[in-house]
Amino acid sequence: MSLHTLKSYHPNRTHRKERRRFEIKMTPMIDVVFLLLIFFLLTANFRSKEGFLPAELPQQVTRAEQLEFVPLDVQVDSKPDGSCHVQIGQTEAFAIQLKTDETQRSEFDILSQRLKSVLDEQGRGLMDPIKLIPTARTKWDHVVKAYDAIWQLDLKNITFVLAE
Amino acid sequence: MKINSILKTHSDSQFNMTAMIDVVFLLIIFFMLICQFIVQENFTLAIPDDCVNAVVPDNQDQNAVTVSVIPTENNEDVFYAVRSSQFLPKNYDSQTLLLEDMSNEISVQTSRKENQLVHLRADKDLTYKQVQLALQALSAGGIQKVQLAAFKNDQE
Repeated sequence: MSLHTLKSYHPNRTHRKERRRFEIKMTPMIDVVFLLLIFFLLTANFRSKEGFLPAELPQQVTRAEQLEFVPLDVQVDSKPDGSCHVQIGQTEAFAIQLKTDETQRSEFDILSQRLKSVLDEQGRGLMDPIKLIPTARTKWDHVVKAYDAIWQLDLKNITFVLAE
Repeated sequence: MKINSILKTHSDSQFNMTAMIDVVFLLIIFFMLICQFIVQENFTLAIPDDCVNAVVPDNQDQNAVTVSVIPTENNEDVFYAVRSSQFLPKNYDSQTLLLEDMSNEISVQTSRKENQLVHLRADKDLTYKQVQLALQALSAGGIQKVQLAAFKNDQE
């Protein structure tokens, strides 16, 4: 059978050319789209959203203000073994146990509890000043956690003291 | 007839790409919408975690000025950054000059807006002595309120 007898066969080249003009070449587009997808998958940095603890920085206070309120000192020190030692006012210093498993409560809860009992003993209110005194070697992690534990008691007048 | 059947078989073997392209485009749109493009000033560092009172904002304030304290690659030293301006202590003859430069930069960055939000991001393994220079610079730059970056949950 000759090809010319077939209905689907069109020997006219110009007609075939016209039909092809309407074709969209998908292959390069799919290539680009896949490249974009791979790029986004590889460069995406999945991480938790950061939170923030509001804090006030120390300002110059007048002598009269200093005499009016005697701040309660909270000294925080990090030991070389990684533990954290805290002393509230003149009370005995205590070590904060590090968290051993996920189900345990925050290890700095003990600081909140002890601070609350000291505040109650001394008859201090929520607006009374607290001086957070870290040493030069105290880890920033321990400073922030101690601040968080104090903030938990709704104490808002917390000042950072500069280390020597 | 034979050619006709060949042509027919050939046309049947083509993939239907439309559905796949739809899915791929949806994935791209999804990634473009959910990803928060990391601002240049957000240096990668391990901020303190497990702070129950840390407030996670719904939307990141793009106008907030971020002051970062970042350990160097060998963890022996630190460098400071006010937004994307970096301050390396080794480039300064004295700490006073470094403090002055940093506080000036903080003043410039925060003077554009009243009640400017300032974030302090510092690596959790740094010592207070290393971070307090940033606190001093903020204080010298006239900042009273600062937000300490910390994760609400345990990240380990």
